[in-house]
Amino acid sequence: MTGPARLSRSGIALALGPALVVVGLFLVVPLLLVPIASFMEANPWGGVRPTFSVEAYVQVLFEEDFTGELIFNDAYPRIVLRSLALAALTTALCLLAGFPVAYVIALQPKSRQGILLLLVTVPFWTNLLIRTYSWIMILRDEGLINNGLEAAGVIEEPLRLLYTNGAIAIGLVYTFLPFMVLPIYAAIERIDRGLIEAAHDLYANRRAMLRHVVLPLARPGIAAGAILVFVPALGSFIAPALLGGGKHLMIGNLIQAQFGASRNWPFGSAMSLILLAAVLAVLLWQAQRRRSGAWQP
Amino acid sequence: MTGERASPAGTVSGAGLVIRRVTKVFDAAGSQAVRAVDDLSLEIGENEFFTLLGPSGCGKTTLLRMIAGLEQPTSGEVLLDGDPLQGLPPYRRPINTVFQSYALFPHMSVGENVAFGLKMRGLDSAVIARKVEEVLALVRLEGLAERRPAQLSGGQQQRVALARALANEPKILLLDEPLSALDLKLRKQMRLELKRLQKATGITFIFVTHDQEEALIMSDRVAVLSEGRVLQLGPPEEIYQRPRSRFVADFIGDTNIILGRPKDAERLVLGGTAELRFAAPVLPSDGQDQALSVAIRPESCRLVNGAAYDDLANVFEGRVREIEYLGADTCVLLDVEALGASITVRLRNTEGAAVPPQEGETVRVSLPAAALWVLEP
Repeated sequence: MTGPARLSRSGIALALGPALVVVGLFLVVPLLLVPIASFMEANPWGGVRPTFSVEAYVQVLFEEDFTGELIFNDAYPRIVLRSLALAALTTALCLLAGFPVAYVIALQPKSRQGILLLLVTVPFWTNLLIRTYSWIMILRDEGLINNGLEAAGVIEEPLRLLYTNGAIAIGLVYTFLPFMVLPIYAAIERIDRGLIEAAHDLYANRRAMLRHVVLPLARPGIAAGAILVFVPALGSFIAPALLGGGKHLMIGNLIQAQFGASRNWPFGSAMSLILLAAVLAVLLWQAQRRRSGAWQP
Repeated sequence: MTGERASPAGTVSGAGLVIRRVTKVFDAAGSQAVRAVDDLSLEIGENEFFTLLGPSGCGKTTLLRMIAGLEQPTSGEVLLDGDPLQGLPPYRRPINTVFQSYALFPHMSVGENVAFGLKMRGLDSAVIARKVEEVLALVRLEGLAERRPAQLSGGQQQRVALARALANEPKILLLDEPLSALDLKLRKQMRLELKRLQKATGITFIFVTHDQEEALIMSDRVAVLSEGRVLQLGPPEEIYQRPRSRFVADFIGDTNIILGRPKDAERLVLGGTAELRFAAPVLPSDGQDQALSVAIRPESCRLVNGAAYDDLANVFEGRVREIEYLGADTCVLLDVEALGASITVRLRNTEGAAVPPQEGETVRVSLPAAALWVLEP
């Protein structure tokens, strides 16, 4: 009798070893360095001084006034809240735009599905920076939209499109839409066509069929897509940096600045941990809701 | 060829389902168009257990899907109680389907599955609850309403699919090979169950199958389909005892087929001098040179010994080629030189029955004239 090949214990170690070394060296160790750095003092020339300090965390909520007294400063909490709101908005818009696309692709003949999926991934073929930068050409005062509207006589003065929260949201939706389409497509594609026919046979019109059959069965795909969009959108910094014009920062920009121009590694580390905590909180909340069966897309 | 001929089990006028000259052509990209249903007409009465029987690819499922509204006919029309169904989507037809794969909604409980159609029609929740309970009792699934389909056996899932369709009290219930996924014992049990449900509900059942036994056991009438056409239509006894064509005879049960040319209206010449006598003048008098196929069921053939038989017994000598023991019956395969054919004789293994012959033995076989019939060319 020939069974499936089984690996011995040493074989498993050998197979997993390289991946474990890479993950350990480049993920676990840096991840441990982040909290350590966050409890140290900033070195004005970069790096950290090995002195214990909670300064970085105090700085998140308070600033020192001229007398050395701590007063509440809402600048950073506002950036965190804006980031959460923009990431949530991005997720919602991606779902609204992505679900119909995924549904239509999944209902095409198999041969056409491949081509359409390829088209969904076309944006990945070019660098994200360039793709985001090109939105500046479209949104700026002398850009495609404003020039077009002016030529059509709809507006006299250019609309303020670039360097707004809306511009950031457009950039984020554009960047992350494929991450929503692909998992939802995979979920819908797995749904037995017979179930759709059965729903129609049982007096459900197209809308009722979508609501009662396709949507509930696509839920795992929607959940996966929502996570795949929300998490990177929350930490993204290219879209806000280019399309928000420095006035509308997200957590990602703040963190990036601390390790760059601001040279405040402990504060950057502290913000990273806050971002991590926010992501974990959202994931746990979602897992909880899904387990209780009340999860709604 | 079609249902226009009067049939003993009830021909209909107005009431019931009328399929009139329906054709369905599938255009497959890159290959030739397939004519799945070809100019087919049928009338199916109210409260009838009607079976569409045929091999796979004969168009029976396509026909069923056109009745359900899941496919649109290329030409022709389908009428229910005199009203054309043309253009009505499936969710506007008073017709429900039991799908071959059951197509139960995996994310709903058994009760929710059964309630689905009622809910979609906007019925009151108290009415729905009562109906669900009633229908689950009808299919003997009381107390399983809270389960998920995946927690049920194949037979139970099948009953849920039935209950889900029956709950809507459709005018017509379509069943697409619903028993094919069940094991033999369960299938036999479900045949009787389906028949009972049809009688109990008074709903017209249109049952699709490739299993001739199923068709014979359950149906009021059977339509045998091949290549998108109805080859024969009638009650099971008629279909079995007098299949009109070679295809139907081969498809339903075992048949001995003998070739010959008519000598006169009652006699067939079988090459050489041997003759086959008929009990009545059934052979065409014109076209004497035309070759004819004559059929007889194995259970109608007899092994005989002794001498005195009249002409209508049609006794021939044959050599036993093979013996097949089937439990209740024994099949004896004979090479009969005079007929230029092999004849299978089916003997009942009753207490005190004659001992079957041995292989290689020469025996005499009788093909009683009354059991012979002529197949359409």
